[in-house]
Amino acid sequence: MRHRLLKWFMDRLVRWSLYLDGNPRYQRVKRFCRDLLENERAPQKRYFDLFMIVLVLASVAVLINDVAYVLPDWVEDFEYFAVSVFIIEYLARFWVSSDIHRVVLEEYERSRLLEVPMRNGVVIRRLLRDKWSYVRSPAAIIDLLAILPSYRSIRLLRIFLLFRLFKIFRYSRSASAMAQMLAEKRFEFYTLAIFMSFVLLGASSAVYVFEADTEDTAFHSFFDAIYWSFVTLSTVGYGDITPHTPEGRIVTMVLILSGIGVLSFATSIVVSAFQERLPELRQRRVLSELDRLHQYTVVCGYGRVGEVVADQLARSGTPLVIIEKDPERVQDAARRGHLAILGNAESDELLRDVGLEGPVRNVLCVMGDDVANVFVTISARQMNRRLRIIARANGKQAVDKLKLAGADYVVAPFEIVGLVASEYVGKPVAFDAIHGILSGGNDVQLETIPLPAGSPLFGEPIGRLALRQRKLLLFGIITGLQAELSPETGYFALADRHFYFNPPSFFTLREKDILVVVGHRDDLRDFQRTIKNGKPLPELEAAT
Amino acid sequence: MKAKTSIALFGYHRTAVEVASYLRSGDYRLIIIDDDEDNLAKARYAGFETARLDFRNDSELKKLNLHKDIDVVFCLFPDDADNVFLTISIKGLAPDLRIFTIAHSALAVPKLIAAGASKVVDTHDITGRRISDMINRPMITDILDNTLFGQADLGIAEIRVCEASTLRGKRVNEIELGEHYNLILIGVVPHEGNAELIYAVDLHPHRIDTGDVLVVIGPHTEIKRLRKDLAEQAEQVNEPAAPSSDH
Repeated sequence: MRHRLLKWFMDRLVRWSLYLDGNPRYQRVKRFCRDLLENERAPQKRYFDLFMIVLVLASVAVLINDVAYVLPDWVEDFEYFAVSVFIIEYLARFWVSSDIHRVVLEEYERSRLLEVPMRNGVVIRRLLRDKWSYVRSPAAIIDLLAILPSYRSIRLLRIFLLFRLFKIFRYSRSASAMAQMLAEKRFEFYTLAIFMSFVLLGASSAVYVFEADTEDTAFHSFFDAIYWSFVTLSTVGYGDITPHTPEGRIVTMVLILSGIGVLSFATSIVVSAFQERLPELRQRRVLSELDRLHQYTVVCGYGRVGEVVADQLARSGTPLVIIEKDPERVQDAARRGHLAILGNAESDELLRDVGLEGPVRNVLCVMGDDVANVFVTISARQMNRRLRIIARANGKQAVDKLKLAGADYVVAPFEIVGLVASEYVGKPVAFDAIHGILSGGNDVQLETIPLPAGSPLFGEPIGRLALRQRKLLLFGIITGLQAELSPETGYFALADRHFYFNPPSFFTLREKDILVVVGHRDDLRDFQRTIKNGKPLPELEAAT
Repeated sequence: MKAKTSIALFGYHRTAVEVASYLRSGDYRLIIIDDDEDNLAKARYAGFETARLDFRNDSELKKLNLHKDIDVVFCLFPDDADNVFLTISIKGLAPDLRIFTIAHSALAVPKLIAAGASKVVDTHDITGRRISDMINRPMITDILDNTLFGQADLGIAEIRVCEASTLRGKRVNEIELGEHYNLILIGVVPHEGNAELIYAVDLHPHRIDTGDVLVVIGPHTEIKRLRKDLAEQAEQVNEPAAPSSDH
């Protein structure tokens, strides 16, 4: 009979699991709850956490006031509301902590595959173990205890309102990071505690032995002795209980000395814990700021090249984050207002944390070391096929390797300098023009100006633009049109389109054409604005 | 007058190797100078003319006969201090020499200019800007790659205006080169003054005169045609063709 009941139950369980596994709505709801409660990187968690912190603080305030005052009814309603939220939260966390149906299905599939009966005991044990491991986790215990103080009939339970305050740790990242930090120093604290209890016990026994039997003794019990030695050890020294015999005073002196030792040891543990974890805390801060950005650029290596790139990108408003090994360079970057993480870009974990699988658009490998550049390029490419990777090659041999590793562009400083230098010998004047355009430092620039959709310019000949009068020089045009022009006339393919050098003035403008223009920065900006506004150009107006 | 432009290239390191290989394609006499035998051996193996001397020593530098035999000096040491020292030494020995140096930090640039370098290229800066351009202005980078970096048949050239040219007396922004040639006039460098480029987009009062240099961009065949036409104009008045060092 029992056997049959179990079989029926397991059968139901499997069916139910299969149903849940195939139900998209269930999956969606569970994913939402998981994001809300557990996913540090989900945007909605931030608001949820804030809400919970406010709720906890308000409910604690209610409980504290409740001790001595009589509160109006609506306050009680609020307390019920808060507790219901806490209970729902507890149950929801219990729910998302593990997937029951997945465990069941795993076993079910195993039994189908191997054609053996399902090991019911194993399944049930695993289910219970998973849930139990959640229930006994410190966070869950605190959550549970935080619900208790609302049960008013037992006075002692009131003290559990402290657990409500502990609950706040859950919602604040830095608070939980600090708790974790101190937890890592468990061994040191443990040593300290053993030493402290040894000293306490020794001092209290000694002082009790010497003092308890004297006439005007302040030590009425052994608990007094322990209380006294604790107060003395901590160097607080209330002075409500003091020894009167010379022996007792000698014990006091020894205790004070060891008290200083204990205190400084404790301080040093906390300080060193902080110092060890400080870079990590900073990194966390940067990562949480990254969550707010989209389509940003990761710059690996903040050397001289990295510095120039970061400055240029920041100036043009491209969001970016820097990964650099050298702490000093990271500080430099932070001083210049960039987001910077101290760490090795060769670490997959760090790259993933930075968001290479998600919102990152570009990765720049600009370290001084080719081996590192190749390594980071290949890691980044494996993580995300759609990334644009630009790598710097410091040696000639690295160019091909970087391309093989998956870099979209390889920039070789020596090659650029070589080219610039060779131009300099033959054409020192033209060189200045090239160098100016290349370095972008010049006021006169080469710029692409896309024509906006629905512009009245379409169908008009390019000569109508009267670029000359706008103090602009038409360098060429990028168009989708395949022309009969030959490469000798300065025409070449550009990605999926074509570039025409110096198009004739009767060249007809079409949708999605992009003008390539030389001019002063201000003139270019003016022209861009005129075109974007869709205002008919004055020349066009005159013509019609 | 020497037949070829002579270049002395100091310091045969990573950047220099690349510079030398670019210069090889031009019609220059190139001497590689270094005080490190390993580097010189590499240069010799690559087929360059080499000379071993210590640049810190002026009497050794004098052996090069900088005044007469050399037109351009390249200082390409990997150390900024070396480049500054060499630039000052050369400036002291031959003040008129054109000196091209590279700088590895932004702070070294003004020092090198103060030392007397005619052109300083900050390697890291130019690389960094190029990388950021790839992100901010990818199309411009592609266009530059295809034109200046020589993948398409577009070149940049300097053309000297001769005595008989019809261009004389015109303003920079009046020259309609594009109507007869598939060329773009970027600007003009006046023959007198501080040799600074006047961009064609500027309304500048300067009128073209003999000896001015036009900077044009266009297909090589068109540049050749313009040169030929200008040379023919010059021949008509029996003047020797204007010297033009490049192609």
